[in-house]
Amino acid sequence: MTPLASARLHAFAYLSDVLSPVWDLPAFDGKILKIDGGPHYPDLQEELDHLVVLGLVEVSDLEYVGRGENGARLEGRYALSFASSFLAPLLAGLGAGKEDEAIDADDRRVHHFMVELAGALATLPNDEIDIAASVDVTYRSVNSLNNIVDFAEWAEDTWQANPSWQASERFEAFLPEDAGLSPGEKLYLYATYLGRVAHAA
Amino acid sequence: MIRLPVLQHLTISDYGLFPGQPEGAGLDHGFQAGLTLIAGINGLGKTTILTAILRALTGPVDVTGEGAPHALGVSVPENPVALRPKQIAFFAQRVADGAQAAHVALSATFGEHTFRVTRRLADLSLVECLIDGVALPLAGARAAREASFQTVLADLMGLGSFIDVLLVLHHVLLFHEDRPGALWDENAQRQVLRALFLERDDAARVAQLERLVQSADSQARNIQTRITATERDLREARKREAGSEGVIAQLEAEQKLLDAELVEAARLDSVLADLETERQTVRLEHEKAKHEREEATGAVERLKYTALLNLYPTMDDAARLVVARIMTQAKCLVCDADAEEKRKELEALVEGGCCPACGAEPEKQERIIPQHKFEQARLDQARRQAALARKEEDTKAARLRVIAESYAETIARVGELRRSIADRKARDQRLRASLPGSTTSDQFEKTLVTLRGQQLEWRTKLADHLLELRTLLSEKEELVTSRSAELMESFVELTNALLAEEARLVQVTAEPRYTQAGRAEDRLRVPAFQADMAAANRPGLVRRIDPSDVSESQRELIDLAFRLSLVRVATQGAPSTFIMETPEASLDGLAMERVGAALAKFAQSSDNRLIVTSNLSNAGLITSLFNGPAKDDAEVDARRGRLVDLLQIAAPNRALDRDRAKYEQLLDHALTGDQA
Repeated sequence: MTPLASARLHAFAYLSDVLSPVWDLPAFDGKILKIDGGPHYPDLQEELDHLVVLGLVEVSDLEYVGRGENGARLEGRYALSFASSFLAPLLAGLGAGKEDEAIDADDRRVHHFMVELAGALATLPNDEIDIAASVDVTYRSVNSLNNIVDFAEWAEDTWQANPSWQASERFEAFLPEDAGLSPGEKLYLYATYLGRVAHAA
Repeated sequence: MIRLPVLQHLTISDYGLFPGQPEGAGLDHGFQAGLTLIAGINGLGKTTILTAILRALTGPVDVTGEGAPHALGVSVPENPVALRPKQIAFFAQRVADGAQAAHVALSATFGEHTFRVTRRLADLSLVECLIDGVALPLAGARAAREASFQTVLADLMGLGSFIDVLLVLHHVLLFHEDRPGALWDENAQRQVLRALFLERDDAARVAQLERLVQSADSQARNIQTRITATERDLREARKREAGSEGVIAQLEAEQKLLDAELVEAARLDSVLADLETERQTVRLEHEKAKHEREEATGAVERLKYTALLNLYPTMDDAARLVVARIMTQAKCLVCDADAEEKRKELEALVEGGCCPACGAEPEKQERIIPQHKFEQARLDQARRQAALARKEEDTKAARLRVIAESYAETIARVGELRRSIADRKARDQRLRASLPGSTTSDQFEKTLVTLRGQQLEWRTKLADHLLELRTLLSEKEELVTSRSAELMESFVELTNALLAEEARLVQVTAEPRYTQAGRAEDRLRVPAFQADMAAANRPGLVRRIDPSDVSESQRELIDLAFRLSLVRVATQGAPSTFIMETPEASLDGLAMERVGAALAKFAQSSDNRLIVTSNLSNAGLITSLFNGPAKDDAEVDARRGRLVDLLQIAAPNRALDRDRAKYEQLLDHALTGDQA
């Protein structure tokens, strides 16, 4: 498997949160601070560092990239460490293997959603994937940097607060009356839309 | 298209405060592109000149009878309000002859159009107004003449109403010493954004809808007062009716409890609104602090990591990360335990050149590079910043937990109260139904039905107006948000020049309280701007919402940057006039030079006019405004051409009589830049 750059990993985390209602799943984090450079979660980064040290994730091209006047952020390329004997049972427990091996049925749904979303985004060229999260319609709904984008944390109406979800559901309106879209197809169509906007950006 | 006034000429004639040089010449000044300095010690009439410019444009009216209010209400009046006699007499009361023969004449251009207005200073009445050299027909009563003038001026500026002209003058162009804010006053900011960025008809309709919403809310509340009184009368009437004492007593007791609960519910709604504002702010600060912490500790870690990389180039990435993390955060990445002891041990090992993995001394090591010194000064600085960021994150996380708890408790309490209020109202209905009727009580019942019907009508109107306002604003929001990038860019450029601290303009969403109850369904969201600014002893940029969050000079300079940005963006770079009264009032010496240079830059761009008054308390500011010391006598002469010298033009006061030579020397030094 090709290792994923940190920025793409964080972008994926954001898109999975904002598109989780398409799969009828709750967002892991219903908000994000919009900052320079696109979605980034310090807490997720810290967890990732733990996984590296636990041997479940391999990191390469590790470097500290300057941020602002005096800051720096750790960046690298991450991949699952298939050499670890803990990885296979862990993934199975999360629903990546046979259905009956999942510890929790919801985890299996989360896993299915992640696989579909990753598949949908993988249809985009690399450079378009990199800016897909930044051109996401919910992310852009807040105009300035250093503001919170709240689509599911305290938002009273999560449908109104999440234009990405609205857009994903809207594709169905263009189909004949007796036709419908599966959640997976909605993700693919939304990813295609993101690709077009990213391409034009 | 917004056209802001570019002042060309000002004369103030036959006014005792400005006899002029030679005596009788009065004040006569042509504004050149760039700076005009109105210089004079206190009491010589600097504010009077600025007020003459303002009143030449406004006439005897303003947003309120007292002039510009310090804080605007949620809506603005439809028409300008006549100034109170004391305000009208501003010029007359300053001179012995009541300014009977005194006039002010002001010329300006608005885009391609020329404009000249002449007013009597005694009562601010309109004498003449020329547009493109053609006199405006001024027939009829005084109010009608002013109304024609107001329409013409709003048209010239491309604004929706004369009220908007007044708002732009007060909140954007005139930076008076008692400065009503543009950025800090949420209502003023919303009105200015509406006036400058919405199309004229929409701007006028939005202002009208805001008034209609407020008026409907006020009518509904007035009727509620009458309903409450009638309900009381009804209870009294029923009390007088035989056989109902027990039920009446019960009704009264219930009513008291209901009233108490309604008061408590209103209080809790307000508590909830405050908690909501605070939790939004704290959540933002907490999220920012997380990034600050990551980036600040990242900076420390980078130094450690780089040193380890230099020392042990073949060490595995993950192992190096574990060592660097322990050395940075005293925290073990493997098991998450506190690792302060290990940190000290590793620091000592690395400091002594020993291997952090096995402890081998330098001479026993292979595959190492001996240049391993950390950059100690940078490391110390990065560590301090990281400690500060961690503290901020912890503080905000704790605060967020406390607020979340209070919020949940308050929400639960509001829910209980609402259920209890509904139960009591139902019980009240049942008790009332059990009461016998009489002519008197029937009459009160009928009145109540009528009043409740009227109240419902006003509430329906309120809802309709709110819906139209919400629809119109959301349709037109793009007109403001599409300019926000330009506004933010300009703000950063200006604050970089004006302030020592880093600052940024941030677009946020405001929820103006159009109704007194401030119910959720009455709220609507509009784009607004707030400032983020660096702070001592806090990491990163901190959101400043309240003017008390910053020092007096920062408050003014941030507001100044916002106003100048509005001018730039609204006019799309076309020239304008900006007037600032005694900028030296709240600035220290170094800030003065910075501000002077920044204002000079504005003055020199796009044929702008910058009019600044100075009380000569800081010659450095004046020199900075003129771009530093003069190179030769010709330049000093040119500077004098930009000067309204009140030491010469104004009627001298005692201070000037006593120390004229000193003050003239002070002004000379300021103009030449010779501070000796």
